Amino acid sequence: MSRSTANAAILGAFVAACHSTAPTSHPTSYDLGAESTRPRALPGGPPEVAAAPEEGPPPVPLERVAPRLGAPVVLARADGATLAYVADEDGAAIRVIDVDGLGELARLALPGRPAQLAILGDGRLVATLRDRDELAVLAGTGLPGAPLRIAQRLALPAEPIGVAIAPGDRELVVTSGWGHALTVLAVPGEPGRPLAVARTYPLAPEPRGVVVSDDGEHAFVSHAVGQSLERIELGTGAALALRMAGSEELVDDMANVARTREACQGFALVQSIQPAGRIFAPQVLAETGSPDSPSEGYGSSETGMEPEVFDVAVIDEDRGKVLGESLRLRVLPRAGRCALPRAAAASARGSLLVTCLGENAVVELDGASAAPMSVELRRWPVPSGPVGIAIDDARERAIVWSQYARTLTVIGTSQRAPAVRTVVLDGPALPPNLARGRELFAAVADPRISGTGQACESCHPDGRQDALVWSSPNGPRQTPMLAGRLAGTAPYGWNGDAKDVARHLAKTFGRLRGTGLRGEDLDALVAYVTQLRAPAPAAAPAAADLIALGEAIFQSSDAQCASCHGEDGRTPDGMRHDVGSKAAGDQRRELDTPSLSYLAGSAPYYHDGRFATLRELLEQSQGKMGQKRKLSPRELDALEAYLGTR
Amino acid sequence: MQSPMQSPMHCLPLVALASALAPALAAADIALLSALPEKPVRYAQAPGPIAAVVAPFSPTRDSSGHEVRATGAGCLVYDPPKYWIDGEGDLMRRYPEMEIGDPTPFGIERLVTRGDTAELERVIANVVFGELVPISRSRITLREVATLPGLAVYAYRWGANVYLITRSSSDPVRRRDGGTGLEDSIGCGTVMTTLRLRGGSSELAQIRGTVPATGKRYVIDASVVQTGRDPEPLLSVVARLVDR
Repeated sequence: MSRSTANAAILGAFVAACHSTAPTSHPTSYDLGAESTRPRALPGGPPEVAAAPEEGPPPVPLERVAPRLGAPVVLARADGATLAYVADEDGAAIRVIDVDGLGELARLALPGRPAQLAILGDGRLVATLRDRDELAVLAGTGLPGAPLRIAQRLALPAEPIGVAIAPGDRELVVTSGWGHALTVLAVPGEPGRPLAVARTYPLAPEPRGVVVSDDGEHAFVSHAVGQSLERIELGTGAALALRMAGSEELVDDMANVARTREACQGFALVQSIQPAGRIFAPQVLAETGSPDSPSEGYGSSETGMEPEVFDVAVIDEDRGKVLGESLRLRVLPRAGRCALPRAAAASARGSLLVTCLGENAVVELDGASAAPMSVELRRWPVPSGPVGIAIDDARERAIVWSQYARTLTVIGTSQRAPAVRTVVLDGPALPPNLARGRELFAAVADPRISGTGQACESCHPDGRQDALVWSSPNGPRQTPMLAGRLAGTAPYGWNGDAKDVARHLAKTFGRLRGTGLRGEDLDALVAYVTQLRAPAPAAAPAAADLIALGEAIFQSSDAQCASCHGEDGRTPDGMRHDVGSKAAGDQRRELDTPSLSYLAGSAPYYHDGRFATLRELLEQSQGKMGQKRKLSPRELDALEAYLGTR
Repeated sequence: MQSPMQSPMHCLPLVALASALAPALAAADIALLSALPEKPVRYAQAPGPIAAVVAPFSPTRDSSGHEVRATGAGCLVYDPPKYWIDGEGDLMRRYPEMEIGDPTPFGIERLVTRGDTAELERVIANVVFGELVPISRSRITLREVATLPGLAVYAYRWGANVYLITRSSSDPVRRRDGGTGLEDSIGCGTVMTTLRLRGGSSELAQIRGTVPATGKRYVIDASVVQTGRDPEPLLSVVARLVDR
């Protein structure tokens, strides 16, 4: 097919796509709080949902632009045209866009919401379906004569998100956020053959991004919480935790002192191209304040101490070590800023581009620097919700997917004449009030919400929790999880001071030095946070009889758990209790009974995060929360197993 | 959709040393350390007049000495070679003028550019009977590693250390990690900083100053990094104009 023929075909497909009707099976539910009915992952590896042998490679082979990377937007070339495949999470579809003409060539409705896409060596597309716990393998390209279609669906541990391809294209790795797992899938050498789950390894909580080292030996995994990045040996699953906490230099009495900052928001992860051998991990370094000293807001009250600072950790890929300079916030004036970093891509020119969800911007950093975050080269504003980015080095451009505005932006990265073009994708999106609420949730510069550069999303990434304990006016406060936990659990706040979400938000705005939100915007934010998409139901690795025993203990009059937390652990009594947990910095003794929904994934525990694990909490709080007698080790096992299902 | 935000910074690629690099790195904006000229073990002797003037100085009735003032944007240092840029002393103790007791050797370090070439000229001198008398002269070939309108940044190396040199018309602020981590106010027309591979992996530095010809403020960020895959340390330099 000649170039002109291909372009005509593309135009025809675009026109056809614009006039096509969405399939009736297209998901249209926007109930973010709806309980998932997806299958649970099983111990020992998930079963294959469906597999169909392929008929052969696509008729127009795709040439991958960034061969081994998964992302919400990936690029490929077919017969001279550059195609962007977009994971349209809100619309539960894959959109195929002609990057040069910015026309939509095709779309494919999916059975779930895609988080990331990647292109296999034989040209097939794969998509992680976050809310279906599946990986979809697609055939076709979206070009005329090769429509996209689902060829295979594979069950994966809860909430598959990140995806990457190993060198040689024979293995695919997927992170599962809520399932805390890394799945290695075998990709047959023969084009078009079904994929198969090869191995599943446990990970630390909330994994997100993943890359495979150039030697194929290791996967590097970022985490939205937990202060570490994991290096997993792909052959054995052996994990090495790389500490991601940082330090900040301060000048105090003419001497330099260093203060530790805690790491969070490790969403993006990307390998360098030039110079090779580095992995960039954009993240946030938080100054949470002293637990013993109540603060005026959240974090330290010291003048000039920013609660959250953008950072890009640089990992020496071959040595498996973090470059120290990349975790050090120095006295040097910092040029690089990026609130809520969510996606990244490296260019062959040596620069690193990061999307900033909080500022709706893309920043270009010096990827060759020991501390890329300190050397911001350029910045572009982009439409709301930039969650994906891909670089087309050959054409000197970056393609950014803004999920909230449903817009694809093409940024010219040439030094000579940078140009920006956009296309807004139609189709189903969030209802207006939820869409507005989501934007407000991530707004770092709205003075009504915050004067500290923090957004709701800063401490509640993905509507969950940051696993940090912040100094607050009432004392140390562990960030509670929001998604799936707010409905029917009033009052709100660890001290139960707010009888509804709106009142609690008003208090939060005050602590963030915001002036306050009212009217439709407040309603929208309340609607959004109360309908945040809940994680998948937890997998149940424990035996059913053990869980049943745990449930019986939980509900027994002897243990008295249910008397405060409700029969199911999800309907707290709405009362405040003194359970003897007052910490040194606490101003009051009585605390609101929290919901135990999604407990297993919301460590650390207690209002001050004193317990790192659920087991620690159960063992060390005995006698303080209702139990009249000490539980045996087996009873503790059972109670822990049952709580893990909440 | 807005057009790209007009950054106040004029950005340049990192280091323009591609021609000196191996073909595999010809398109890169980074420099292998070996692409920089190395400080010679024995200095070549630099001819010409000494870039300084001397005048009698009597702060009190009972004391006397001489005041030396550098010309041509040179920096004066006490006790060379300790306070050369590649010496053991810190760079704070560099001055446009200073008082010299007789006969105490002092140094003059000066950036000299002639066409496309740049050198760091060094003279160790003494004041003898009110006259400047050279004791030794040397010069180090420099390599341009970044530019801005009206400004060039130069470098040379010595072992695994990299030395960056440029000009500034204001009291430049030069900061880098190590020790107090904050060193500034060189006060002469040449500004310098050092990058040393600490712990064998990385170090970064920043120079802030003013372009002499335009009065515009600039920031230079530089770092050296050596990862497990780098055959030798890589230098990156980014020079930008800033609002303040």
